[in-house]
Amino acid sequence: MNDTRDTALAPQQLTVDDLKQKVLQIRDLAEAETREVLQRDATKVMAVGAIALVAVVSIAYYLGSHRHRSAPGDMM
Amino acid sequence: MSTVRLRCVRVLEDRIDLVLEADAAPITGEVAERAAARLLDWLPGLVLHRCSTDGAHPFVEELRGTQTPHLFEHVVLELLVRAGSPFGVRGETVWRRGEDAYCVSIFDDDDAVCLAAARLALRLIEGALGDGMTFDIDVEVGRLAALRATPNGEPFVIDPR
Repeated sequence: MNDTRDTALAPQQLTVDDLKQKVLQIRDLAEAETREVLQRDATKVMAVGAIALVAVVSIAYYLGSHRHRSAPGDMM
Repeated sequence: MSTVRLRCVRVLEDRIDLVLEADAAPITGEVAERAAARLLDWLPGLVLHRCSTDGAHPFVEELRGTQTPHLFEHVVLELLVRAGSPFGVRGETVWRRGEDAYCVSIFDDDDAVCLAAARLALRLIEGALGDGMTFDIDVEVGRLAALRATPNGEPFVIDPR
């Protein structure tokens, strides 16, 4: 005697709970993406700040120093 | 009396940096007049020197009112020229307001001559600013010229690199 079973699945029906779940997943993804972008921007802002600081210090040093340039003849 | 002291020397590929300690104020008045007269007597070629401080002008315009390290720079350059260096040698004096350290860079053609010229320049300036000292400048310049590694030759020709 053969024992057969029907293993084919019935097509899933989309429920309200499924939709809710999807919405929550998408929200989590969006939040994670936003956090990453904000972090990247903060790093950029810090890098730009550091460069600006170095530039300001360099300008201050240049303005604070004095120099004579000299040559023994008319070669300047 | 204004004093000048050599703090350290850096021999670099294109120049020699000499870090000097000296008064921040320029030498002025009778001391400056006397020093200028003595230096011009020993090294008359100083009248040909040019400076680019606030626009190019003859160094003699500053000779009686400049900082000792700047004076030192010109004396070294003149000694180099007298000892056979080309007129293309040049110098630069850099300092920061309120500090007593000056960096004098000499873009020389022979490091040995330049170092000896720097030592002699310190003695000459000390003599010019002080109570007087006698120098046989021709003998001193002759000694400098004898140090030249490549007399009548191209600079760096002996560099194996």
